[in-house]
Amino acid sequence: MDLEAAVRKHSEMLYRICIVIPGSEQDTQDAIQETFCKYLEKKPKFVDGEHEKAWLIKVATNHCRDIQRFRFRHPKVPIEELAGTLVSRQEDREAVRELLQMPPKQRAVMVLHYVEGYQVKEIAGILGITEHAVKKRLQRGREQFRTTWKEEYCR
Amino acid sequence: MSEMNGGQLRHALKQVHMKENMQEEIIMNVRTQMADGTYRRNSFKRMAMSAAAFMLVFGAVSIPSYAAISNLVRARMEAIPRAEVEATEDMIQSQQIHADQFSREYTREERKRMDALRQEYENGMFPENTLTLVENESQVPDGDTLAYTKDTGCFYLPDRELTDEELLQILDFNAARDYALDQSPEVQKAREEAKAEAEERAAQAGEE
Repeated sequence: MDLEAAVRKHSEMLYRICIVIPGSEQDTQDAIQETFCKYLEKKPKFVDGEHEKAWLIKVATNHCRDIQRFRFRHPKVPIEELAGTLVSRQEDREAVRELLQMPPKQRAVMVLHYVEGYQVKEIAGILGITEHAVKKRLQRGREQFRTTWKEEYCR
Repeated sequence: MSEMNGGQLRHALKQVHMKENMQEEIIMNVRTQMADGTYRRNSFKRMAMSAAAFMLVFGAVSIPSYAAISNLVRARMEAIPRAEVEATEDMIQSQQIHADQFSREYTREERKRMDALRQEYENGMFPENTLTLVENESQVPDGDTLAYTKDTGCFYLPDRELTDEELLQILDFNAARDYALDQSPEVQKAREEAKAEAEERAAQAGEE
């Protein structure tokens, strides 16, 4: 297992997915590190690159969920500040802000579908939830975006 | 409509990148944890330590670090009297919170103006006055005054819309807290240790 090659290839993608779940740089780095530790420890056999990518996403999102449980009683980092840190363009900030205002479970589904291009069945496999749950979360996310876009840009 | 929204989200998230050196840090930390056996063995402890580090570095403070600010803001911060910086640091260390709290959410309009003013602030547009700091909730003046409680780290926002001056006061206060934390002995020590460790590793890698 070539750790450096795997980190160079996949960490940006994992960062984009994880940063919107716990919502902090430190937690995201912790989740990615834990993921690659497990990668070295388990030495899983992958069928192809897509299999490897899906495995890494699954492990990383599980770590994010654990971190969230740990922080459950703590206030969150202000969405305002986080969105401003991640992207600079006004419309991009709006999109990130809307995403961060969704429940964490919904955010992961939205990112996997719209940013990483996974289909419903694939997302269900990665996150260990039913296809029905994935569809519902996507539907709610789309509705939230639609409402905001109507209010903000379609007046 | 949904395709356009998905495209917007995709575009926004594709602009999100890891901070410089995070990949190197991840590689180094994973190798260290696997080599010294700290991975798995102290999972909960590491999480608690992570929380402590979060408290120390990001704790009650906005995410953009002091290192990332403009020279104009840096000069403004460096002009703050030492006693005031230390008082700010003491306040942060005494707060048992992970992030700021707010008496209400920012309105959409306030968020937009804050985004715009953040850039102006970096370019030297500073508030005329400083944020009103009070010891606790009982001292918060009224529903029309912006104030921050030192004990709970809560911004009490007025019932009306925040003015540009007030938004600038918040940005200025956040910058001052970042600066105070950056100056704290703990952060300075951690930075020196990290630097020494990185140099040691680089030297070892050179020998190999």
